[in-house]
Amino acid sequence: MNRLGAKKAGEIQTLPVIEFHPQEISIKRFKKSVTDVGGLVIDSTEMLNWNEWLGKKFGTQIKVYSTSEVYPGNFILHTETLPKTTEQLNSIDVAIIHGKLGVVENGAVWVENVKHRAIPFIAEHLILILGKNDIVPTMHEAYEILTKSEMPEFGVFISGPSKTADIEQSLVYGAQGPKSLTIILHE
Amino acid sequence: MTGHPQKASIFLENESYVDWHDETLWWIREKRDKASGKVQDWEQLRETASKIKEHTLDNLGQYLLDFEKNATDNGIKIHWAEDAEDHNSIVYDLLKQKKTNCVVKSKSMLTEECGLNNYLEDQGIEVVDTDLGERIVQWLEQTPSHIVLPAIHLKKKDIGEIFTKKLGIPFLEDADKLTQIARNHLRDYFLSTPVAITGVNFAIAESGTFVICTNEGNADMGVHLADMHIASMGIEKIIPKTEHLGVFLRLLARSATGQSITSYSSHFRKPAKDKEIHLILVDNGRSDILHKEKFRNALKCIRCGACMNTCPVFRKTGGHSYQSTIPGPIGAILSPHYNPMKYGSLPFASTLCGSCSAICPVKIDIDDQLYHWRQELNRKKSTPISISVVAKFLSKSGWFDLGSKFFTTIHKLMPNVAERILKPYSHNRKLPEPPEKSFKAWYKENS
Amino acid sequence: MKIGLFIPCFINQFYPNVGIATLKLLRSFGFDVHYPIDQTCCGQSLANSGYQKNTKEIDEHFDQVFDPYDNIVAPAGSCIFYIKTYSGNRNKYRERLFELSEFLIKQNVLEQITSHYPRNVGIINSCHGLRGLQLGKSSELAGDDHSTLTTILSKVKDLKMIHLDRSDECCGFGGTFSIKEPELSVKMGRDRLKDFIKNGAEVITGTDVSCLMHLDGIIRKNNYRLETKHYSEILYQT
Repeated sequence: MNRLGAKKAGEIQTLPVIEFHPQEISIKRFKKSVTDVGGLVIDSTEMLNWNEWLGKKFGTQIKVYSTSEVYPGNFILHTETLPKTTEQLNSIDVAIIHGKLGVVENGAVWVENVKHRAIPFIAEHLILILGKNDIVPTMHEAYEILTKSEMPEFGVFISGPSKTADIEQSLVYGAQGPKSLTIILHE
Repeated sequence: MTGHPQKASIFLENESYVDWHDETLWWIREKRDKASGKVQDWEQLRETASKIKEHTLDNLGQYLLDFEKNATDNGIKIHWAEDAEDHNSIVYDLLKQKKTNCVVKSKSMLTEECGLNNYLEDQGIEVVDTDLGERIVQWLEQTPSHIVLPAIHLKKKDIGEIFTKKLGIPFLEDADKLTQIARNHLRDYFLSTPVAITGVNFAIAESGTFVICTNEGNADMGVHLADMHIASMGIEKIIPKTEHLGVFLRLLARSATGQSITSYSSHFRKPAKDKEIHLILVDNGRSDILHKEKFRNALKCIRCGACMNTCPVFRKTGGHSYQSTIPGPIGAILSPHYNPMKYGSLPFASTLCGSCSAICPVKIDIDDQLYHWRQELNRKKSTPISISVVAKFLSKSGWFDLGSKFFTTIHKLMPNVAERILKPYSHNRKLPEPPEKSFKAWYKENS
Repeated sequence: MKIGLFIPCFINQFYPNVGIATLKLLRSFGFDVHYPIDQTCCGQSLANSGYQKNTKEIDEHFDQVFDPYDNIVAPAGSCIFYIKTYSGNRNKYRERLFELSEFLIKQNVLEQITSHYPRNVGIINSCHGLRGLQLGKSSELAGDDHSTLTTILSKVKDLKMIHLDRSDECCGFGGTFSIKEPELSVKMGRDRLKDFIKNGAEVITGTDVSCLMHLDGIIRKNNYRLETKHYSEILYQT
């Protein structure tokens, strides 16, 4: 450990200040960023019939887990015992959870406080509910908000569906995690 | 001919394959340019990242202690590993504790560096690499040829064939279908394996948090369904503050693949209820490099692979030609620390064009270090006579002029001899046409 | 201002016309140019191979020869880059050393260019000049494209500059690299040439004769329909 304490001779580098050009918040550009990464954005006002929309998009015999009362699911996750929990998780077709904030430059949505950390990854399809007022321009503003309080036990920036291009650079969605990502944007 | 020149020569035999490999990686370089071009303060971002990393290296010991304290307070168990052996036995001991003989692993070049897979397999433990590219390479019993795109050297046909061989399915080349098959195959492991090993992209000293970035989500699929998460990390991956993640996450994916960010950037601060997180801080020669003034900045590396995508040598000869865990320009300046004999050809596998340094998101002076390595590798060696002779001819004007006249004559009268003197240069290139006289001779006559 | 003209060893040996054009060009702009006859070489070939430790006498000789001059100008990016960055003379001569194109721009003589060159010209953006001496903005960096050579060539009448697919990929010469990894070196050169041919170049020019020599060697070996010409010979035509 003492080996690591040794400083180099000469000038010691001080920490730079993080200061970049402020950028505007643009819902239009956020939507484009999300579609660029293979996701879909729907305004809550466009969602006329939730169950009809779910059925059309994902099929009718599906297991839907939701933390939202506005967009409810059809099953409850019991997390008392594993492996039962694992089986349940693996049966989730669509998961609907809330996002805390969204980032314009990369279409990423910050998700924390999930009942089981596997939910955003193991569901076949993921839907994130996000408020328009929770959108910030870049990662700097995102961290400004996130560092106002203690970082959560677990949190994740999610940008688009799971993907890979490992087979001769052909882009494929749904590599291990969700095959699709939809963001429902509300006022 | 040994080392890189020998391996490169083999790779270069199949020109259409070389062109395919080169064009694929150049395309990724172009995607990176497009992505970085959209960021208003790109150069300032690089400079800021570079300064943060340099500051961190100046205070590495203290930041590591801070990280250890904060992470431990959060319930993460910290282990220190002096070297690769140490790291591997720590992992093995943890696996023994959980009484498991199978482990899922997401991408970690550090575990490659430590030879973890082979070590565990020798102990009878099945290691399942869950990154699709790594799984394919694992099946083929190869090593990754690129630190971010492990299977970049493989064509669809090679991949289809190994899927057939390993899973017994009819031959397929369709990427969508193969990916779906891999998804199902790996899902079985995720659901039943109690220990998951990952790497670490960034660890934050002030909060004891660490971040893992993936596109597939395979790291998360492994760890959240397992009971124990083992995270292996090189000590240089520390950054001081959470807000610094804004800088690094804006740079990382854009530099690596031209994406604005990876699909998932998972931040771990505490283990989930009834689960364990073990984080292994690995030195393995890094503290030695830290003390080498000319080479310490290589430790700023965030393992984005941009230097490999831009390097014409890498693109045209492939990662395996370097025969090192980390190939490419960054590999050429890191590997010789570990084995100057084995990797002595790597600093010379370069024209010192500087493209790597210009693209590096944390401004590592790669081309400078390549130059310094060339001097370092010869420092203790005795000078060959040919070099001493050339040095003499170049330092005395009388000798210089004599040598010049001599070569002018040979070049004009016996061009074949001139060509033989300058083989292997003249093997596939014509020498310049012999001029009537040298510039000096012309000047003497005309002034 | 007394200028010492530095003619790199391989230009002296293989491309004296580049030296002649450079000398006459500078004099045509009214500069007081001297060619110190005792000059030899910068020593980069040794240093590049890892033997900078054996270049002390070469450095001393360079210092002895060029000390009397206010500025030293050379038609060679990589030699100037080496002396300024690594050689034993780097501190003493850093402010005095110039590659020709940066010198011409600094001295503001571009409006005096009268040459006429009605050809399709592509630029090989020699790496040490571009990224080392920062004679231009390399493609990796953010910002608007610019280079000393494009600025200078834009003053030449009827010269048509062609754009390449890969504007600054290395030609593959790299000094000792051309001997240590000859197949790769030639492959890199051939790939650059394909880019020039694809985009309609007739002539390839650049700041470094070493790149041009390497490309020319491949052109003639393969009978490509291309010519190489150092820009000094475009600016000063006999």
